[in-house]
Amino acid sequence: MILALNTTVFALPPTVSVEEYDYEAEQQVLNEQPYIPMESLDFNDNDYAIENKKAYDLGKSIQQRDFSRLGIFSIISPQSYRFLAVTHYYQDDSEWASDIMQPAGYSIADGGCALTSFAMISSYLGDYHTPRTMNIALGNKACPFLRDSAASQFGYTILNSLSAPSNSTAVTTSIGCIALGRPVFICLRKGTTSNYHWVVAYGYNDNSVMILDPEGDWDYSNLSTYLNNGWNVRYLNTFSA
Amino acid sequence: MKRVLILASLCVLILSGCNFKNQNCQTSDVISSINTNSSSSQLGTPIPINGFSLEDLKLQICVPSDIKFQDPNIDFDMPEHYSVMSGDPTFDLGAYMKAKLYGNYTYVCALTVENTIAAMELPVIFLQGFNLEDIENKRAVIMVGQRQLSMEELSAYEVYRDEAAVVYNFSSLVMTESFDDYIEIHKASTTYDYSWTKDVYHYFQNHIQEIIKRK
Repeated sequence: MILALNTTVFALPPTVSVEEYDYEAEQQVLNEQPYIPMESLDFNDNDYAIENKKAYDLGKSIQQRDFSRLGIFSIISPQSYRFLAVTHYYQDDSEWASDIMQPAGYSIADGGCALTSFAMISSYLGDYHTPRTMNIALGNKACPFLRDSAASQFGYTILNSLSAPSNSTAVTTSIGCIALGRPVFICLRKGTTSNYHWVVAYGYNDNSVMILDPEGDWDYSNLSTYLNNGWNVRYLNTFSA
Repeated sequence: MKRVLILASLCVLILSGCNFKNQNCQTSDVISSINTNSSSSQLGTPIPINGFSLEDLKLQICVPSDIKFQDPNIDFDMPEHYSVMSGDPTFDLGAYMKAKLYGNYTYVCALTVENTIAAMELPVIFLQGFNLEDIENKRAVIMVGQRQLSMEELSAYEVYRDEAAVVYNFSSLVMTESFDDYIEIHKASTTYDYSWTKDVYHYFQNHIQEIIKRK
């Protein structure tokens, strides 16, 4: 029985566009997958915390199509593509674009990318907030967005927190997190400027990390579009409900 | 039929063997099993034990209400200028954390607002707690990075102790450079004045012993 659960052969990479993808089927598969529990620490590994190492290793295995390192008893059935059913909200949606966030007083359209990205993840985790209702819920902690405070307010735990990872580590870890069923909250920084932007990574196909960009004017669908144009990952993390 | 049974038994044996090999025991489980088996405790290998966040230990940081921090860069009232965060083994704080802490821990961050969209977290103190019953085990050791700390060494880092738990301030082992260097790592703007974060750093470093309380 254990063997049957763990030796699922990954599918060859089909090319699936986001529009064609069957989100309901994905959600069903996701619901059937066991939650990956925290495991003990690896005292020999000084480079990555074990859960990040696991996400990183999983991402690397998916990128290289080599699952030998995961072991046949891994409870994960890695695939070369996966898309999580995350709702795409735009900060400049006319329904809430002009709503003002406190305490800074910016509109959601002007400064709501972090809040909108968090609303997407919150919806995925079952709290079904739009940027408008998220803004109301966070009140005077909406802008500047306070990641830890927002997570606490919704009872989420921050996981897989990486600070200023290299681009390749960010991509690989994101793929691993998505394979584990966790959309990734990504803070991007343009070079060494104070220009920041937030997006949600929700899928991968081959080695590409697919994102939901809250900025409708840009609406990039691939993380590499940012990374190849002078943006770096300032931090990333996932949330668990 | 006999062959099937033999094959099945072999499979079970192989599977249980592999499963054992693949098993990742929580060190706290190991400690618990040692506590209930006195003969094993005679055997020598030290066991690094997992730490806990203050929250795990039902402890909290209570900053007196008259302690205020002021970010001179912003013209609106920030609801929070620092955040008490729980770190766990899924965290990799990169350049902020020069040595790894094993298990969960608590760190306090100054919240800097270079871009107004969201606050950035600049760590100012790293705390880790332990259950007294875990560290009383003779084989238990506490590690920070690759360094194994003796009980004598640990006393220099102790900032809180009660009947159930002890908390250490491991900042100097985790943040091996000066706080100014950490500001340089963190710096995201040449126009933003980071000097106020030193007040947060000094407050928590100097007063942490007075402000950890049991919930």
